[in-house]
Amino acid sequence: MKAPRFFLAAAVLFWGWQVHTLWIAVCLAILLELAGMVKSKFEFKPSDFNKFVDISTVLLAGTIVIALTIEAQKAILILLKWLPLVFFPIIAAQVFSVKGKIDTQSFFLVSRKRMKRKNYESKEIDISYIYSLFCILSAGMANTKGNLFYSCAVLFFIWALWQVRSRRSSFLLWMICMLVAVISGYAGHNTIRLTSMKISQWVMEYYANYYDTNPFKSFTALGEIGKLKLSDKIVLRVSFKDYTFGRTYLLHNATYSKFVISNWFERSGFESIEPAKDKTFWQINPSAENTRKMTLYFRLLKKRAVLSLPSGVITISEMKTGACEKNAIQSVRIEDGPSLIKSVVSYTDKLSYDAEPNPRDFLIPEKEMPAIAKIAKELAFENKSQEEILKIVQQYFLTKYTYSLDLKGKGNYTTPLQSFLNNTKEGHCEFFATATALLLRQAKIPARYSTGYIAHEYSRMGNHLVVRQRDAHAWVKVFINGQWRNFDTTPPSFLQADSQKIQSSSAKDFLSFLGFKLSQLRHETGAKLMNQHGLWLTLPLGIILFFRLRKSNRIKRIRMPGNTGEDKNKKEHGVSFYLIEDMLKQKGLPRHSYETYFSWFERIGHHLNSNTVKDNLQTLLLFHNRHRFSKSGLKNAEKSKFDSDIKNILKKLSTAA
Amino acid sequence: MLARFLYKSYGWFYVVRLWRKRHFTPAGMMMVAAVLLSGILGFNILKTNLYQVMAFGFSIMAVSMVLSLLPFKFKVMVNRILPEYATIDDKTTYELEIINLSSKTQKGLILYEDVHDPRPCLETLLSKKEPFEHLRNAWDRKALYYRWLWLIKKNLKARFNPIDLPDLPAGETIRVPITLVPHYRGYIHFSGCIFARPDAFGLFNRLLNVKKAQKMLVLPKRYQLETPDLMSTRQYHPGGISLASSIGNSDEFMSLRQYRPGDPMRNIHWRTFAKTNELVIKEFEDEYFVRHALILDTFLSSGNETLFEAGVSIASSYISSMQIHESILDLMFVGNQIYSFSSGRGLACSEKMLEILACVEPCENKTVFELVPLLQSNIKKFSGSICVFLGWDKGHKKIYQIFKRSLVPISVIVLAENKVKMEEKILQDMNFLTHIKVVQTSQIRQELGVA
Repeated sequence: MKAPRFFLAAAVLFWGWQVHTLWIAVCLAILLELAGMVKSKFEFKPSDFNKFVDISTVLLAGTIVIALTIEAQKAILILLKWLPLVFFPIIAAQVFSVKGKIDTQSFFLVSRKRMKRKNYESKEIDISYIYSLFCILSAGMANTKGNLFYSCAVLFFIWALWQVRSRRSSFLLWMICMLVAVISGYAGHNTIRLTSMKISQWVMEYYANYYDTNPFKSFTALGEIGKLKLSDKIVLRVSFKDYTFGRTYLLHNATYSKFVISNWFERSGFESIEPAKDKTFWQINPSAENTRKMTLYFRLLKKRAVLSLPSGVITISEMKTGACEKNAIQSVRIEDGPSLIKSVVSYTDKLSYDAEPNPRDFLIPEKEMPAIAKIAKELAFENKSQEEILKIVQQYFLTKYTYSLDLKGKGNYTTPLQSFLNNTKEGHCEFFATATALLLRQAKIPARYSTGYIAHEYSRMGNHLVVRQRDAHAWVKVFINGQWRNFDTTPPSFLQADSQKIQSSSAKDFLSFLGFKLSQLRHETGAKLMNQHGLWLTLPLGIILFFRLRKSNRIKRIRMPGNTGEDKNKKEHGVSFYLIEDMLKQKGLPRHSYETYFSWFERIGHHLNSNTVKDNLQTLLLFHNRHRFSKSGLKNAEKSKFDSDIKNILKKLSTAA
Repeated sequence: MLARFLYKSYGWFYVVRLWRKRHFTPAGMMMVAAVLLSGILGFNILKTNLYQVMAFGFSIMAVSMVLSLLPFKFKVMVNRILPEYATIDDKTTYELEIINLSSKTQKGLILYEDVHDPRPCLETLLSKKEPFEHLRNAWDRKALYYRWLWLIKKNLKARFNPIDLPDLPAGETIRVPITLVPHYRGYIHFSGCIFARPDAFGLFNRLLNVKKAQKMLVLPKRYQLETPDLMSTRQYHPGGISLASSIGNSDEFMSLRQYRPGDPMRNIHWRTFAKTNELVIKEFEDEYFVRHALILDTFLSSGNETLFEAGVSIASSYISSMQIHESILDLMFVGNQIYSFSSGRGLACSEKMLEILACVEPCENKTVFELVPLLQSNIKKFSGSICVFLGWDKGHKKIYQIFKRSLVPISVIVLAENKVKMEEKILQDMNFLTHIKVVQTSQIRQELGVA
């Protein structure tokens, strides 16, 4: 099956248009169409085709390496996107070859030996449709919105199917069937999309635990007995442009409003954020002035992650990820991406974009109420401003409570929080944050429970802050003066206590840094270089191919017979008479290879409407034979009569049933 | 157990593959591939638009399938105008006569030739060995897949491609030329024709079977060989009236040659005798009929059928090359029993011999000794002998010695995969290679100096 003229070029252009490489596609399309216009072609032997397949194989391997370097998670998508370029040498070899077909064995290294056998029966195929299919599939990788892709793909299918339609079916039937297929295809893909989205939403909500941080539920260690098991593993590497030594930063993961049986819950749904600028720029919140910048590196271990970000995030740039979503309380989660994620975050600490307070931000569980009410009474919140209440609470926890990583359970009390407040008076950040949130709610100040990390440890290796797993932290977000702000009542000594209890190892840190640098080289520097200059790799491959083919000195240029003057003359000889043969063939009366024109006219005579048509045909045959084979040919007058007679008879045949 | 399972699986796969080839047009296969590829690659509908291609492709296929279910019947007769013989590796063209007996012109049909089921039986699959099977890896040898493919090809003899038929006008007869290149000898058994009607989109076919059993013989491959000089004695052979009609010498002088026992004294060239003191005979055009033996070794101990096929080809080439209207040629080989066929001088023509050779099969459960009694009883009839051996052992040596002791000129061709090794083996056994030519199967043309 050979693709019709311009089909290949159109498919290539469609691919280029969709994946934003139109200039490459235009070059490829011109080359492909040039093959149909040039007067000479190349006589490639099967071994020559093998070389073109080899080049494509090398290109394919190179693309795989580049794809893995740029974004391992999206390697297949990148590879598919560039397939038309990868296989271009093969299709170019086909269209510029005399045969116009390629032996199937050329595609398989193992079976190439068979081609050398004496009795080898070649099985040649035309790959133009296969290549066009790859172009359409690659164009689909661009994932453009709207119905444009579907419409164009359908047009290509219609174009291709028109070439192979059955001669038995009428045009009308074909069109009706095609219309049915187009409409059902449209309805089908919409159904697939909607069903898939519903299923994926349901699955994501059901298996929300899959995330590193569950933005819907926070399991606390309140009530457990033993010790908090935190490691010194580095989970984040952060650098702030305005960093001053000794300063600490709260990096927020998720916020929760509802406290039930020692666990915090949140039910805000996520909404998708559309990327811009090569799909690496994400506008999280509306722009603001006096923004600050930080750079964040972390490893994406489970394909999905919730970002640890400062308050008031406006944009995230240079973040290569498949999807980015945020919820109303500023949790940002991502899906898919390279194993090392880089995010350049622009934020303002003067504004908060969290959702306005709601009744859930005032809820205190009944079980906790007695202990909370007792302390609130003790602290005498009445007639105090919100700022004063915050100071009192801060002072209260600082003076009367101590930080401890020991987990002592709930003892004789109803809840672990009651035990913490009334009995042990020592605990880790989750106790302090939970107690603070509930106390503030008791004072009618909206408060939420936040989790994340505290960045405080400067590392000379890399000149940035390292955040370890032990730096996981919980604090409170409190709504004061129309803004949500962070409020941390955990005694500041907790950082020192954590560092002493969970000590870090320099050797381990060094190895971690080394791994980080290698990943950075691969995903950042390497990917950038490959992105910008990767295409130049094809140049040496092209040069190698050129020299290999030139060295072999076997490829001949052959002038195509269709364009020679001699053939043109032959065609002109009695060409009009052959139109009668074509017309009769269309009418279902073809001439068989074993028949002479005369015996053919005799055979089909009774199918023709009148005997005069048959007689005319036989007379014209005599003229044709003289014109075609006689040395003297036809005189001018005879020639013009011959031509007009043929026109008349064609008219008669076309009107006949 | 495993072999039986594999055999059944291959058989089933063959049927499915044949069904797929006949029911799906190339465009249909492309469409299936497009739907599968877009379905697999576009699984994540959030990342790609390929699910749209899949949905459309699937709709097209569904519509196409429904259209292909529409009934397809018309009255038609077929007849093949077959050539007398085809030859291995030679392009053969025959014509298929199609008579459309219906009242409607049939357009856009595809024709598939239907041949007898080429699937081998389990015993054949287990007993036969594909040529050079020993070079395949252990897994391939165990899985028997390549052996299965080879047996299928061997039974099919040639590849039959689908043919796009021209329009079949109502009540008209058309002839369609069909070209094929047979790769194996023997009979091609045609069982009928299959007319396929593609649906409107040209993706799926609806089939109509028309029975017409015919067969065509594929002769072995033949080379243009020079016949060896096998004349050393003159012998008269009783052969009845038809053979006796032209016994003796003609008066046409041909050449001078050395005296051989039995030459008439009157033909001695006395002048040369006087000069050289050697008896030289005036040779006239020979009108004696002579009887040659062509011994074909069918005992394939190695299981390598390439050797056997090469042997059959060389034997066929000698039959074609020898002027057997001037002589009688006795072809001797062993199949299920001992066969001896005579041709030439009115007994049978060479084509009959070639037909026999086209159908000869290797013999694996007997030895070359089976031929010894037949040779011993007929040895006096022969003026010369050509032996085509597939190896060298005591049996071959015995046959060689029978001819030598009876002073019957002999020319032996021993086929081998490794010429050097075989020559060493014969030299160790015989100490000479006189009248023995070892031919490497891969270089028959070069070794036998054929055109």
